[in-house]
Amino acid sequence: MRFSPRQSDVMIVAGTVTYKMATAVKRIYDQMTEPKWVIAMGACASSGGMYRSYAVLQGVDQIIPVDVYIAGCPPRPEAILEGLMKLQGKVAKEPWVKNHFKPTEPVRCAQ
Amino acid sequence: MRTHPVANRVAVTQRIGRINFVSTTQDIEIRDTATKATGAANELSDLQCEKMVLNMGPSHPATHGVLRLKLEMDGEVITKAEPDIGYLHRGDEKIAENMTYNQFIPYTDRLDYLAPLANNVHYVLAVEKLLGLEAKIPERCQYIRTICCELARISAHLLGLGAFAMDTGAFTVFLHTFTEREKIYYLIEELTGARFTTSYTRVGGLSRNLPENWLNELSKFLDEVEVNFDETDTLLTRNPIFLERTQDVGIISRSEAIDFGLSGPNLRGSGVEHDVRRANPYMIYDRFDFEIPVGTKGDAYDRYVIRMLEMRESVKILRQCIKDIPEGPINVDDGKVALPSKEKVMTSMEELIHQFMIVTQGQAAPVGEIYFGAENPKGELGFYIHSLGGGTPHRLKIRAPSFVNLSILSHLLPGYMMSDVVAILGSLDFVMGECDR
Amino acid sequence: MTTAADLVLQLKGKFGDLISEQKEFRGEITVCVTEAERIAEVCAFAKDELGFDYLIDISTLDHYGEDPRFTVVYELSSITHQQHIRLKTQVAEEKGEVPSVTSVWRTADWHEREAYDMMGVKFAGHPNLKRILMWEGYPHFPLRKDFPLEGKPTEVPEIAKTGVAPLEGGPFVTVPSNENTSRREPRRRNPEDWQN
Repeated sequence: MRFSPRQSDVMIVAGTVTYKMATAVKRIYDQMTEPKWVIAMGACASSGGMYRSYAVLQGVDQIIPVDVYIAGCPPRPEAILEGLMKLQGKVAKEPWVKNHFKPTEPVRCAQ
Repeated sequence: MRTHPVANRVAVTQRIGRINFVSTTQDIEIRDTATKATGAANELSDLQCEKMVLNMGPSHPATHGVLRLKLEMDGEVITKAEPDIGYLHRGDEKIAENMTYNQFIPYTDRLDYLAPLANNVHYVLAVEKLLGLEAKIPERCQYIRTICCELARISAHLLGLGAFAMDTGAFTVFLHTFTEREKIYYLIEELTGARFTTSYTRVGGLSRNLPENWLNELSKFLDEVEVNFDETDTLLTRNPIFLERTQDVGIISRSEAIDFGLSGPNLRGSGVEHDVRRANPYMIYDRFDFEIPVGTKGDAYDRYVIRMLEMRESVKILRQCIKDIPEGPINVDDGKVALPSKEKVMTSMEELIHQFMIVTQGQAAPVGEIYFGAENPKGELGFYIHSLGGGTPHRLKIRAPSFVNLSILSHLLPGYMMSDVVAILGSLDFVMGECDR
Repeated sequence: MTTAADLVLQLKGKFGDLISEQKEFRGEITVCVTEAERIAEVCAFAKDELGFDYLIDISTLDHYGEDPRFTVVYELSSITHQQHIRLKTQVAEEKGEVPSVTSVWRTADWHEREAYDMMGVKFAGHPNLKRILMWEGYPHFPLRKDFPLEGKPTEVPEIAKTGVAPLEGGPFVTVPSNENTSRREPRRRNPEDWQN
């Protein structure tokens, strides 16, 4: 098992994100290589949850873009599996392939 | 393993071999003149005094939770360690000043989130001590709370041992302990409605009674889990690799353990026979027959063995509870403390008023302050409640065992090698949710 | 077996007027030390002579609007005698400093750092009085009564940036009184509520 942000595709933010931890989360997100997706797991990561206080970031989507939100505190295992399947469905519809590679245009040589 | 610093450095050079910081001419000088050894070693020390600063960051697979360790290392050996906590500080104590006593129970779930039932029970016991209700809690409620505490203890130790074994390399043990935890989750879900974060107890009693047939399923589970303990024993306890990694690692002496305020298996591993269930018995612990395992050397292996033995003692207590549990009410008879039954609330005026007062204002606590400490799986969990009357506390301080257990790290780690750090962290068994609150 | 009351009598015998009368509530004995400057002496005596070798906890209380504003509470326990007492001492806001007891029990190190971080009470003679739960450079002391639950916006570049949590008028907890609804059910806890 390799725990390295560089080689991963999905980052699951599980648990409460505090303001102190927010810089670390942002740094790990920046270290990931494209293409990357983010799952916010649980109520605390999605929106701050029941911790409306001075030290908790109210939702990790304030610092990084999130693709799938999983509700629950904590989410049931079935909910996490469904969240992963929803992410798979989202990836299947991604348009980035079309933006980066246009297979319909013929290759032109420099003249 | 604390050797003389100069000798250590010389030994390190020899081990590193070709990665030499010393030029060849000085090398010859050392080898030729033994009398110049100390002088040359000092020059060696000047050249090699560049220590490496390594940051075991908050997001790391081997630190259990979000703990940051700033390690200053000389090669593999650690010379200075500074833990940096607070990455999971959510402001629980400030939130408690704005909540009634019953409203704070879900926050106590998430303190030591590996044993939420135990936290619920201990918090409610603290509030009941403040209200003066300790003697009035019915018998059945006390037995059910004891069952919850001991089940939580087994669950927390299973995870602690599983994660510790996984960090030292034994991945099978981790999967073994987690199958047993799944069974505990199933039992807890039948009892409280949630696998985790149960919020089961209320001030003055419990939220619901035991479901039918739950005690039979619990006895069946206890038989299965003892088989699992034996299997984990055969995998780890006399395993030479595990022994090599944990014996004589992280030795805490008896006086250090008391001076640094350790509690739980960490304190007992160093030879101090202090268990809050025996020292200041709360609930009905003085009725049960169980032993307190105490270690001798205070190393990581002792703490592992104590956790294994404690789980077996918990199974013993659970068996005694299942045999002796009586029938009866589960809530205190006082209308001002425990919510009355819904039929009475809908029909009678007095119960309606009580329900309204308890839900909106909370139980009326007297002016005063108490401290209640109880034996959490991680150590002594304490609640200090200072009340100025009314339904919300003026100050609620949570004495978290993991916070105090971690303070010993800057004293304990220097002198050990990098891979020992992982073993030491696993053996201290802390939870950051509790440490940072 | 020596009880907590006997040990407190010995403490009073040594320090006399410095120790106030003991208060007993729910089976626990609380004793006030009238001069905060000498708390370290009292603690050293408690550890060496009376056998209180285990410091359970150090807490702080904020009496907003009263003077002295802060109280520091020490929970002491003895493993040999199995007894527990509580020592309290008051600190005024201007002085804001208490001698540290890290020389008596090494566990006081982190407890005092947390008390400084959360309440702003300084400990003289502490080896490393830095913030422990919040980050270096955070300008406020969160557990004070005049600091709101939702926090204040701050920024320490490269380290952390805080915002204000949306409370939407909550948490909704009533204040016991006989007055009308808007006084009895305040939408938010204000610092003024603690002053009466």
